[in-house]
Amino acid sequence: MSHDVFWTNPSYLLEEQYVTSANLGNRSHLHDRYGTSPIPFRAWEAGLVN
Amino acid sequence: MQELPFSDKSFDLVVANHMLYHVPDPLRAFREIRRVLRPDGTALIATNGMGHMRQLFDAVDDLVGGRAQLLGQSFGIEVGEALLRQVFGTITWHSFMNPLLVTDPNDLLAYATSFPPGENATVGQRATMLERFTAEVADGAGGLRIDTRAGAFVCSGAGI
Repeated sequence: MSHDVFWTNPSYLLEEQYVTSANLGNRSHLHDRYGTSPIPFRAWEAGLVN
Repeated sequence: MQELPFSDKSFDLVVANHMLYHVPDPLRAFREIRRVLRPDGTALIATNGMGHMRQLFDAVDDLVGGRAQLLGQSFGIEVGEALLRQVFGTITWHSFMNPLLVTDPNDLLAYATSFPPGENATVGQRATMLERFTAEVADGAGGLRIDTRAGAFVCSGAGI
């Protein structure tokens, strides 16, 4: 899979990239553990519409 | 996202967090979001932009092969507003300031190898990448600072 097209390729996304939660988990872990914002993203985002 | 299984004007709020860059035709997805929103509804669309996590992507570019930083640009900060303007009347961008301060180089390696081109790295390239991250974490003040460039578009109304 060329990395130029993987991002929008449904087969790659379903059958490889997100076939388990591992890849997404590794990425979200980095933000959750090491983010320096005093406000978590989802709380910040909720504030945009409240 | 390009064919939402919902009736017209069903929702007050639609949230799309860091996923529209996976949609082959983002404009079609925006039209679907607009269709299922009530007239006074709001779409909240989070994404990132060029330079997001550049310190990490630089390592992938250098050690595995280039252009990691170009990934996901079918819909990002730079092109987002122009696309959204075709569907929504009011669009405001909000930046989420959240640089990372990473102390465990293994977590950087896990991130860097979670998608192409990093996921295709050889065992040797992974070892070299980990060495680089380890050195950068040690050299940083309290860890390796990773800059982020992310946030959300708040969209409402009807576009042009």
